[in-house]
Amino acid sequence: MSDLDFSPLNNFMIAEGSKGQLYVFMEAKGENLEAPHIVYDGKEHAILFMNESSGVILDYINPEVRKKLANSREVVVVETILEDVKKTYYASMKFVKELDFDFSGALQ
Amino acid sequence: MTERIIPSDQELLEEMKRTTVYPSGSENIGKEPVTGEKVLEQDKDSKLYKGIRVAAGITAFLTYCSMMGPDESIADYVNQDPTWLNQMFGTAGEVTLFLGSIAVAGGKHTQEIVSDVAKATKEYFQEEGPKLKEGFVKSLVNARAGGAKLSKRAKSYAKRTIEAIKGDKTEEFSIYRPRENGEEGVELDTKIVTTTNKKKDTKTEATYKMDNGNLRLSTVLFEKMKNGGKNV
Repeated sequence: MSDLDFSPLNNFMIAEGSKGQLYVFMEAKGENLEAPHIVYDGKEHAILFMNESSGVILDYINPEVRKKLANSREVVVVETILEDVKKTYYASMKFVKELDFDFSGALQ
Repeated sequence: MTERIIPSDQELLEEMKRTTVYPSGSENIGKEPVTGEKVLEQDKDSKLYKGIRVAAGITAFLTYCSMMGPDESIADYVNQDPTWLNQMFGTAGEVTLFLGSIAVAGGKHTQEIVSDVAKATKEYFQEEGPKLKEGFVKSLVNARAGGAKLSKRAKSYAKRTIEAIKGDKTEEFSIYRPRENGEEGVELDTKIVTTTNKKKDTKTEATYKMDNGNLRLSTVLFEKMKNGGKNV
């Protein structure tokens, strides 16, 4: 994983629309998008891949939305700068049994 | 004609109120979920509302694309109300965001969508001035016309589409009607759109063909006119 560039995201929000669609609101990162997707194991953390080698670690997902997130096929990612929307895109969800990622180093 | 399905401001506001917000991230551990209505009370112009608005626009647009009949085009969508882009989003920046997002979200039919959007909105952008047009071009170039789920071929379509809308002369649809037994063909088979860019000496030719009753972008030829007509 040494070539990968992932920074932890400590403040973001997940919104659920009336029909169950999920949105992830986060600070804009300015990464190039290439098949964006989220890898998730249903627990505290998830990884948003913006492209093959970079993205963000969604560090601590609110417990009340974890099951919904794990059952979603895709989410709408909304990247913002202050109160302005910078970028919006769909990210597909990839569910894994357990995230094979060493968070202890990445989150420091 | 497929019914226009862009949600109204009121509908978006109602959707926002029904939304639940889950504060997340290690800085928000222990925070309870709140309703969108609560968020709205605190800040009427919040990023939450803007984000939902853009996402709803994209969803509506793509839904429209999937419902289009064989005799409809993106132009119909735009032409129902030529100002809908501004009505929906308000600023050039948001329009480009929307169009860039379509390119990402389009998936399988992205190349058709991007191309059709470019074509249909060409006049609109010309009227609205270079800033908006430039923004649109940038959104396709930088944002995501080449990203996400797009294949290499689709990226190429997008790039050539950009060339097309940058062109200074676009010819009307040429409609080819295949002839059989000396008769004029009756069924529309192929449409060709050509755009030339005198400054760059380029010519772009997009061919649309009928596919199960739907007109689909078939090929795009990008010609360097000074290069002996060689396609690149």
